[in-house]
Amino acid sequence: MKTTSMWDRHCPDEGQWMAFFDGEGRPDDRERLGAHLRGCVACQNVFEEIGNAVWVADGALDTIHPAAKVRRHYGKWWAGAAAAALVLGLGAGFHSAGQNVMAAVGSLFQVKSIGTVPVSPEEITALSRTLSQGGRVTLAHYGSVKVSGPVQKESVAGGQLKNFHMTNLWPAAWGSEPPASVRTGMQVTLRLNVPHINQLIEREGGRDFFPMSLNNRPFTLVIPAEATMTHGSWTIQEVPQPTVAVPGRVPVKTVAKALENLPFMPTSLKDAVSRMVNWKDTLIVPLPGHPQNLQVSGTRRIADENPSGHTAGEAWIQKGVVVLVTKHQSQPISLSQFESQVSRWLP
Amino acid sequence: MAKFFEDGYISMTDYVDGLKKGEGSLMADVKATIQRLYETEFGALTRHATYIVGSREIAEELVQEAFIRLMTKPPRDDARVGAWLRTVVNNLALDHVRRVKVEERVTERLSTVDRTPTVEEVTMIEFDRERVQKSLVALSRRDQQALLLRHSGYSYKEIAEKIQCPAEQVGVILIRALKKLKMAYFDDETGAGPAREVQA
Repeated sequence: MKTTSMWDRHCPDEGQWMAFFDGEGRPDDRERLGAHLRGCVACQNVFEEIGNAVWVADGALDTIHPAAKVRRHYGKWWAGAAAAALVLGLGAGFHSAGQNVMAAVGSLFQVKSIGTVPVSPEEITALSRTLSQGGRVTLAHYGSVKVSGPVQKESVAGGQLKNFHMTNLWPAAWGSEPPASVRTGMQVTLRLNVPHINQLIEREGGRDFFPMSLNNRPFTLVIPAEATMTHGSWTIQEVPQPTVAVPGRVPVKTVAKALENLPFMPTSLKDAVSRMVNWKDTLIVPLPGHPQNLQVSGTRRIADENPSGHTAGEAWIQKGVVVLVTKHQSQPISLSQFESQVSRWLP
Repeated sequence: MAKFFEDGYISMTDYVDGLKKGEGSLMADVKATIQRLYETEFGALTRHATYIVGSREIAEELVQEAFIRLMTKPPRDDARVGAWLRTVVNNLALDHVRRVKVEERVTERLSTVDRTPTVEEVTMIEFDRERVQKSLVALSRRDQQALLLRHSGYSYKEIAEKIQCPAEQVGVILIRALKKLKMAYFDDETGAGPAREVQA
């Protein structure tokens, strides 16, 4: 590093000012640079020029390049899970839609059924260790997840839910229905960093890679609306017709193969992905513990409870609407009793 | 609120709450976002401004002003708010050490022949995506990579590793690339550029 005496005779170069501008460097060096800047008109001009270049370039880059480093508070599981669900959902969609259809419409998929696979905590730990490369990178290294909305939140009567393409599921046995809280205009956009993902596949000994044509292209999950109704310890949530928009001309087979052969995928998930070939339009939800696949009135349902047993939930898709029913109480819940209650009230 | 999964896992409620806290947060939940940024960024920004202005008190005032600007004119991409704030603080601090009066600056600006816009004007520019893309690919591969890494929030050390150059050279590589991008974008145009339109 340069010394103070050197700066007395020679001004720091613009590269050093750039680093200073970006908050780089050791505190003592930065302190000396700052003191120099206060007294040197020439360097003030250089610094101003840097500021202008940064404004223009960052403003320009904002339009074409989403910031890949996700903010710290943002790094929640839900973002990663949304991305995982998107990718898995896409895997399902790819198989069923066929390449010709996709080339024509630029691709829009609808999830029609739901299934679950158990993932053990050890598998999750192993997966997160691999993905983070021993803690060296974050999920953001592999792409970005951008969420927007809801645009509006309103309270509507059960009868009005059809305006949002939802059915009023309120069981008559629960008495008069409360207004539903409806949120609209939600969207999740996933962009993959294909070079980074492929690097990881290669490092883990995989042979099937994602096509570069997918790099940084938007995959968009659109959630037109979400409604919530509560009754004591019960909550009913509905999400109609979530659709996935995929950029046009996706090499379907390559993506499907890469997904199925990800070397770091837990075995159970790998099996589930390969089974998607047969499970048309099925969204596979990986859950910890012992989730159950059920069949109620000819519809696939998934059910699970949290380890303490105070919360149980069941989800399914009916007529294009994702339904999630949960019960939360201070006493442990019997999952079988919960399931029979749900089938009775929400057949 | 009902939670479907064990802590750390996503429930539909968490998911939708997550959506709510997402991109639209600056508009939808300004107070909470600013509060959080204030807690995480204020210290570092104040230290940085103190290096330039030489007084912690003045530095704090400048950082406050940057936050006020954030509330009135938030950047497009709220994942980059930290970098946006730092740029504003740098400019405010520079203005302070120059002690330039507003009137003088206005006169100076009117007489300048610089074709490129000033800081305030840039915030009003609607960039043309295609032209940005075109300007970017006109740069060398290394310059493009360095710019995108910086834009994504990578440190100079990380950038040096990725573009395989000594860490001390990252600053000069970046500033030259930033200027080239700026030049490519504005010089690409024939006739009046966006800068002119804004100034008019």
